[in-house]
Amino acid sequence: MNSSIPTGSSVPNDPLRSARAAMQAGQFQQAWNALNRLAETVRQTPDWLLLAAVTHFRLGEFARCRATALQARDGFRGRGDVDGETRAENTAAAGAFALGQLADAEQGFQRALGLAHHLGDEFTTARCANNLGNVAYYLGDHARALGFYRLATASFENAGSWQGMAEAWLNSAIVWRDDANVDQSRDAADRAIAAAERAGNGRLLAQALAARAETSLTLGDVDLARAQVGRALDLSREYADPLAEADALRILTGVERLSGNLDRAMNAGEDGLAIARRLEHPWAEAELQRDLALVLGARGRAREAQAAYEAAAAAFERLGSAGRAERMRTRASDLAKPS
Amino acid sequence: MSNPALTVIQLSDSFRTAWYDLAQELEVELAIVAADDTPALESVAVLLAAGGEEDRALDLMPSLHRKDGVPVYLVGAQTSHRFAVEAIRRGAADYFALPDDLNLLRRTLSARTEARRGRAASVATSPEVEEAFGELLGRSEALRETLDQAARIAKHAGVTVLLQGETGTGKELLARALHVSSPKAAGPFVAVNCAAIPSELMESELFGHERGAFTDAHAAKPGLFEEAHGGTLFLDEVGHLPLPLQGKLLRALEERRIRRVGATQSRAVDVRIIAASHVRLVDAVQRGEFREDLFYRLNVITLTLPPLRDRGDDVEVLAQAFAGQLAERYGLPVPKLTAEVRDALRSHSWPGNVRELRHAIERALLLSPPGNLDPKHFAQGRRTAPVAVDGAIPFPATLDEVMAAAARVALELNDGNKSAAARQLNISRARLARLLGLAEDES
Repeated sequence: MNSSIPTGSSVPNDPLRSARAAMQAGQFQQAWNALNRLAETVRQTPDWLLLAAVTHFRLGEFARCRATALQARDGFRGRGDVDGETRAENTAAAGAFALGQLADAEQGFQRALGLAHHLGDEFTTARCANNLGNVAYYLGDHARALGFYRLATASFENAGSWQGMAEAWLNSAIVWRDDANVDQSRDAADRAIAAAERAGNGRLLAQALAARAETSLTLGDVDLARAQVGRALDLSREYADPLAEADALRILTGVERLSGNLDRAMNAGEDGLAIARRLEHPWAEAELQRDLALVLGARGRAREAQAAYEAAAAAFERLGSAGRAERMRTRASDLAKPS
Repeated sequence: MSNPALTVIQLSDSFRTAWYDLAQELEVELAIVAADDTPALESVAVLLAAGGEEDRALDLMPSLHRKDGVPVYLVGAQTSHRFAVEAIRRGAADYFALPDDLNLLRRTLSARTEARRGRAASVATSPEVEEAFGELLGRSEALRETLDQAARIAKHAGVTVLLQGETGTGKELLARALHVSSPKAAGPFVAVNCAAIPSELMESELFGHERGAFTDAHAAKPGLFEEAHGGTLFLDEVGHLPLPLQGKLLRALEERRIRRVGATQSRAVDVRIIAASHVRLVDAVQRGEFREDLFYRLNVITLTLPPLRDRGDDVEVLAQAFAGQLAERYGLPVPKLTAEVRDALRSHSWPGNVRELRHAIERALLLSPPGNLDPKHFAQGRRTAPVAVDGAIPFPATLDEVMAAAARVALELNDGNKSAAARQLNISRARLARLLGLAEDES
């Protein structure tokens, strides 16, 4: 799912300028180095702490992100800066979310949502709603997830953020897809594509096209899905987005499987799985394991398919997604039954 | 060409001097005529000046319709939106309440005069308005009539509009265009598809909730009404609103206040409602499924979007536009519409309307050789069985495996309710139990 976390771009302190510039350029290690060069007095300020927390998040150091963001939140709260408190709360919750601490994440996002709405800050309201949608989705509560995405879409539109709208529509498309509501999923994916194009964001466009390909696949239109996922794969490589590439490879796995090209399906799935593992992205890994299990099952390799389902179940469980984990275990045990 | 005239059909003496001033400012002749006189041929516009004779003006309106496209504006003292709506319904290009709207009338006539003199191609509108209406592509009379009427009522932000039209005809695009052209354009536009929200969540989604309002309400959440404050709330498929919520919506429309679920206080909202339905709401009223009072509150003005099959050559205009947009998206050369493609486009009835056409063009573009559109790819040919939740239906697989997986997915989709799952699969509960590997008594 597409999470919304702050970029740190709205922290106004001058000594932080070079760190902020590095952040905006996507050079997160340089940003961290710049932050560390600052004087001890600056490093106690909530502005510094928040920027450090965002940097930790970008570097994949989620526990440090959460701890630092909570310090920043308390600092902002102490000086009565509700805006800063809101951003820090959202960042701390994003850290909890990435750690699979869904209850903490949900509480934090809800607090941040309340503060942001009170301030009339549409952009942060939208971010928090989008993140709450992700939490609900992980917990398997799809109706609530869609409700939060609706709020996020409306708030991102009010804030004039095409990128945010693309993210929220894309997330909606994924949930509708899981609910087998293909028309809604296709409509949401189309909207995500249009918003990503308006935002000029090739990375998001690749993800949205992959979601669109998956709806075609769900409709059984394998030829169209193949063409669409091919474009998504090209774009994900052009924009060097490995997560989008892994997702496109997962969908290609399904395309090849439904076309009866089981060797190609295995290759695509294994390539995608390798990327997901390299990224240490458990959700992508779980989805790839699940889809690879279908290919293994179709090839009659029941024992390996069973193992893939078990691996998917373990990953979903780590992420707090008990319902999905249970479904994977059911499938694994189905395979164990004598036919 | 002679100097154009401003024709005023005067039903009373009110504001007589204002017409002279206006004509002077616009540098046009002034022709004041009686109701039964023939207006000047070279008119910039015709003003029907009611001045206390509003009812008579409404009666006269239909007979003043001009085939040459010269607009007839009704000018009076009534300030209610309902009167304005009635005037437009009877054929007025717009209604102006004097003295409040005098500046607005001046700007409108000035733009008309500019256009008439050829200095501008059309009545002045903002780029945003042109873009919004421009997305509703087509030049058929059926579409133009609807868009002309929409453009006339857009500025009356207090007027509730009901959009009717089959699925895929562009109701949301029209709602957005109405919003962008309205005085609320600077505010938000929030679109909600009522058919996509579970009925038990609808109240909280629309009106928000307070913390503790129900079991899962761990924190307060604003509703979509609040998000639309200062702008437009588009309620698509409004017929799906549950009856109790219809009452709450009616109160919100009448009192302009809403109350979050679990709240003790109401809060003011300033929202224009545009509702839409793909079925005739009046039928739902007759069946007792939709409140009559809400229907009449929403149905102040109805705009009907025609189905694509009734839009003549628009199908080609749209197809060419979609081919261009989609070719750019997929990095392909833009195909031309060959005679074969045009024939195929015209011979299909497009029950899914513009949305179906767009998907057909996308499919053909991607599956034809680059730079071509092969009509055989408009529709999907071979279909495999739909892949349900998480791709859970194994395929290719033995028939037994596919059936067992389908049974399991149906059970999941129905929250473990075996009777519902069996109904969905059109099989008996006993057969479902066998497919699930359960003993009969377990089922």
